[in-house]
Amino acid sequence: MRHPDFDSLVSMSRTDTLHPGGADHVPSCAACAATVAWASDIRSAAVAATSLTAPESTWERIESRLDGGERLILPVARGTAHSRTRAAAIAAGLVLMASVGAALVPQTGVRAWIERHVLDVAAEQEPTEATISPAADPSPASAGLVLQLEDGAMHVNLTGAAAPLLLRLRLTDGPDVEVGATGVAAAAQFAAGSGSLEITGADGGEITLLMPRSARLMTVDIDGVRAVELRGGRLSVNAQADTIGAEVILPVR
Amino acid sequence: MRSGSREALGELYRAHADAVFALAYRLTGSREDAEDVLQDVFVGLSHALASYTERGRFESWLKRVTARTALMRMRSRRRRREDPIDPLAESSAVVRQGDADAASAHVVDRLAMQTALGRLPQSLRAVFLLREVEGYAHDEIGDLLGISARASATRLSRAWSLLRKELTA
Repeated sequence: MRHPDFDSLVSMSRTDTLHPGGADHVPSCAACAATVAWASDIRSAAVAATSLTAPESTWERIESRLDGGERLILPVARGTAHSRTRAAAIAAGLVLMASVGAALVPQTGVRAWIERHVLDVAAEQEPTEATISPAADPSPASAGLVLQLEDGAMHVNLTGAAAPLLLRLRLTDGPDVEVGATGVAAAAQFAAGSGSLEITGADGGEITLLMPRSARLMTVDIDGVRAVELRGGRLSVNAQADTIGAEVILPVR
Repeated sequence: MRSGSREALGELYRAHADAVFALAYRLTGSREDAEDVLQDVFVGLSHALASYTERGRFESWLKRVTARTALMRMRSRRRRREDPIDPLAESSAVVRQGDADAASAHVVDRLAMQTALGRLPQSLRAVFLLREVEGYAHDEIGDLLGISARASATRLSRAWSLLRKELTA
């Protein structure tokens, strides 16, 4: 009888899986039996290698954050994404074409048109329901929040933004605006109002904006100048920008 | 708990903190990130419980929330590199075996395993640990990672193949 393949032998080492064909062969084959035993051992070793106890001080930190009035929205809902849809793939292709086109026609009206009108990004789908708020650490390495659109709109104002800050933009299929900040930007001030977000003092690091495609209107102003506008699913970028995959990146100068 | 009692939250923490921390570590590969995830989960738990329907086991629900929180954290950090399993874990990992002899017998395996896991691409490591350690089915893994169940199975197969090369070389 033929030996079962490696994946089948691994499967036979599980206790929660119906064994595939060939299981009858294993008891009489030393090589296959050894592979099944090896897989079982590997599983046990993986459990042992990754079974850690929570640090002693974590509960105190949690209490400290709760005492500070921190409120966090966890990603309890099912994510929006399964594998990327054909539409997203097509859109990513369009973005690539747009970026290539922009690169080929620097400093021309065509480039400006591409930058303003063709970057109609159908982004890689991402779950958008999480909020990771700044930790109690006074200089957090990352921060973020989720904001609901107000009457379908959101206005983001960056004040005092300076190089080497990078602003990353992505469209999502989720209903909310998700803002993430890393590096120096994580220490900026984020003040959320009804349909607005003021970010002050981001002068380094990265800010990522996940913008709901369904937004009626979403704008990003940098020091009073309109840099980004999302209207009816169309993203217009009024600034020097690059694209990487489905992401538009604006270096703040 | 739903009324936000700190005492009740503390009880939940004592009951589930280790499991939440271990899962977060398995997904992030970093003790520091895992602790941040543990903090975030319990800071946001009172609010999140409003969506808990009590149809399934609480621990299962909590683990799903933990996994999503860990994955969101990783995405938000936009790590381009593949993160190895934190080497600090070698000295602090707890081998949950019955007796000292059994534990010492597993030490070499554990260190070799940590090295091998650390060399796996993160996308494969997450699937491997979710399936083989946490016991998730492929459709559940697909749901968590935003991939199809078939892609999860493919990644698992690749992970096993790489581990076999690494650990039997």
